[in-house]
Amino acid sequence: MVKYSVLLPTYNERENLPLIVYLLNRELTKCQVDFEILIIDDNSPDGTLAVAQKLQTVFGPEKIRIESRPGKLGLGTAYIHGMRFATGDFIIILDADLSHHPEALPQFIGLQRAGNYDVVTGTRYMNGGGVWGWNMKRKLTSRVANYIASATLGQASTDMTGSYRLYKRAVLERILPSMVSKGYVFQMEIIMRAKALGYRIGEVPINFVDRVFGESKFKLSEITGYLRGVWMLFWTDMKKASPLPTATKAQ
Amino acid sequence: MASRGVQFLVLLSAIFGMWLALILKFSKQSTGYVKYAIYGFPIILGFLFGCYSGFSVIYNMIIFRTCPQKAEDLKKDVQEAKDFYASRGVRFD
Ligand SMILES: Nc1nc2c(ncn2[C@@H]2O[C@H](COP(=O)(O)OP(=O)(O)O)[C@@H](O)[C@H]2O)c(=O)[nH]1
Ligand SMILES: [Mg+2]
Repeated sequence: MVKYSVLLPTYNERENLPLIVYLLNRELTKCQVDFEILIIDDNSPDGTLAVAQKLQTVFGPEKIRIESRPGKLGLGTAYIHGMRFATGDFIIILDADLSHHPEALPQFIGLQRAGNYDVVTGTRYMNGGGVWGWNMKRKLTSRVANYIASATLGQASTDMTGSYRLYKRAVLERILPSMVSKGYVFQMEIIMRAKALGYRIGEVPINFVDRVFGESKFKLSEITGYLRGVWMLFWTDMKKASPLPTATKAQ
Repeated sequence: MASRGVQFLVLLSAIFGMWLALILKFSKQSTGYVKYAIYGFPIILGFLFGCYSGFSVIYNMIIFRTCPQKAEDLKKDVQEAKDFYASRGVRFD
């Protein structure tokens, strides 16, 4: 049977983790597929790891796998770390904070099968997509960020900054070793490289609900970090593999 | 294929080159509006691009959907999850 690996990086998600895991289990069971959830926790001070261990006793260690790291090493390297342990034919990446609802997964999986897509990405901007919990200023910022990215880097997806995706395993295995970015634009670099390499990309509309539990950080430093990331990608040849080793350096 | 930046620079220098050729060839003979149009070409181009960017971003912001129903649905799902754990006697603290 085809297997799906969910990479779930967590940092201080004690409250959200049981909820997201329950919903993932519910939706993937609906799809009648084999799956595993890899929790990549970076030694969260709020005790997320203990919650993950408890979930393992509820759903079983085959379904819930824990591959934690000793400290906060950043989101990008968390995916790279997770890929080392994932055993699925397909890789699902989503945030653990319930902003990405697992209810969209049957659509992701259905579209991938129907069109034999290499990547299926969620989009907040396509017909039927949307957000909740954002004011006009936040919406404008998101639109500007997305516009800057597609105008300078080319439109690999209608939602360049989105990060709710399904990949064929081989796609990530090919792309991850050449990644140059680590921070805010990590997911964007993946989709750009996927497009440059000629992979087929499908889109599913998603509804992004801003996080309910925990702090939603959106600071000026994120904006400058984002712009610096876009600038760096602007000068990167997306078809060339990176000469730099994909470091596990802290963000 | 080079980086987007290099592609952009190549395109930009091609346009600049054509503009320069245009100036050298026509600016002496032409007068009035035509002259302004030739000299002001980069400014006009920049202005149009700015307008397009501004309108497109604002239009897209306005049509950006808000989905209150989804927030309600999520609350129900959160409750369903909590009930599931409670029914199994699982506690997370
Ligand atoms: N393992 C790990 N997970 C992280 C790290 N930073 C963020 N996350 C997780 O990545 C997801 C997205 O992070 P979030 O703070 O919601 O980012 P935002 O939605 O862009 O504000 C969440 O599931 C976080 O718990 C990190 O350094 N390490
Ligand atoms: Mg979030």
